[in-house]
Amino acid sequence: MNQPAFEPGGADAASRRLSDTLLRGLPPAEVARVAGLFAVQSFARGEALLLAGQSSRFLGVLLEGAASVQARKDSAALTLEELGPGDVFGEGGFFDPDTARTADVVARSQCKVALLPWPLYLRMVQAEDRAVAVMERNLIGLVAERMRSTDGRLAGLLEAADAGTWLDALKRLFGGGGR
Amino acid sequence: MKPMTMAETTALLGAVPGLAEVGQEPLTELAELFVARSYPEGAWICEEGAVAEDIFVLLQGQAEVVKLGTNGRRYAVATLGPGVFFGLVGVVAAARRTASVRAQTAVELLSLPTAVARELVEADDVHLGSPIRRALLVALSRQLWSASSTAMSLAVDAGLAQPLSRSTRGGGPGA
Repeated sequence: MNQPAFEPGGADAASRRLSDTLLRGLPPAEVARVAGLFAVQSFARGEALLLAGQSSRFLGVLLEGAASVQARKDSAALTLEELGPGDVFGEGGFFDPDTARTADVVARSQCKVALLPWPLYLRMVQAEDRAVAVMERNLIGLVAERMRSTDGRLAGLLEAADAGTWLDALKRLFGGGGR
Repeated sequence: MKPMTMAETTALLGAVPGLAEVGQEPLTELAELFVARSYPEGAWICEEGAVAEDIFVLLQGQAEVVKLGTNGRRYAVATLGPGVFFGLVGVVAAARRTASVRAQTAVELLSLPTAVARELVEADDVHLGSPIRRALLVALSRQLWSASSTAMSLAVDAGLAQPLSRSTRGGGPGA
């Protein structure tokens, strides 16, 4: 992968975003050091930040713009989550290379993302870098929160299915726009 | 059941998703913290609402995750197979189980006290902490995807998904 240099002032912007989520809890100097390990890449509207089935190992943080996490089935796509600045994506395939990327992440506007390649993360682990613990703990919190939200939605769907009102429940969750 | 040797426990742990790239030394140290347990078919491994005292790695057999609806009925929401890390809620959030797990067949598993797992996750230690955090992340990500897939299937069947956009371009980072 190419690793574009940070644009003027870009490293500061990346540090600010990363300190809000993935690197929350690290002192500012440490945030700046770890942010420097990330590559920054821009994506145009409609471009895929990640594609399902891709095996590349990057952990991404959206710095600017908006993106959608979309699942595909047959010829249909469903938006599972909307991402904004500071949101993390790609953690599933990053830590779980046996499972291909399971969803697309598509830019809804011009986007700038910070990307951490797996080899750099592994080098931090081997050096027993404390920032690894902070990143992993923050990721666990983020994924657990997504899990709780999805789990609650699914439980609601199953109950609605039982009560015969599951279509209404689905419409509330995903919107009513049909094919 | 014949007691498992430390080498066997280590090898089984090394096959758990998220632990495959962990070195032999931390893996052996982790294996020493786990205890092997057996459950007959139909036994409850953990129950919704109970204090989450342990986390588990399923080694052999199959189990189902059951959730209690607000209407008082129980719903099977997922099936677990070998290599799955489960019962993790006590490590990441609540002290009480948010779902029950029942053995669908005879089950062999490894358990680790939640308090020990939480201590490892919360410590700044990378040697043992990083492997357990990574295994936890993989397990949570897979659970998340499984739940999302179920919702996706329901939505597609109901005609609520959008046609795939032809304007989606690019192959991700570095493309």
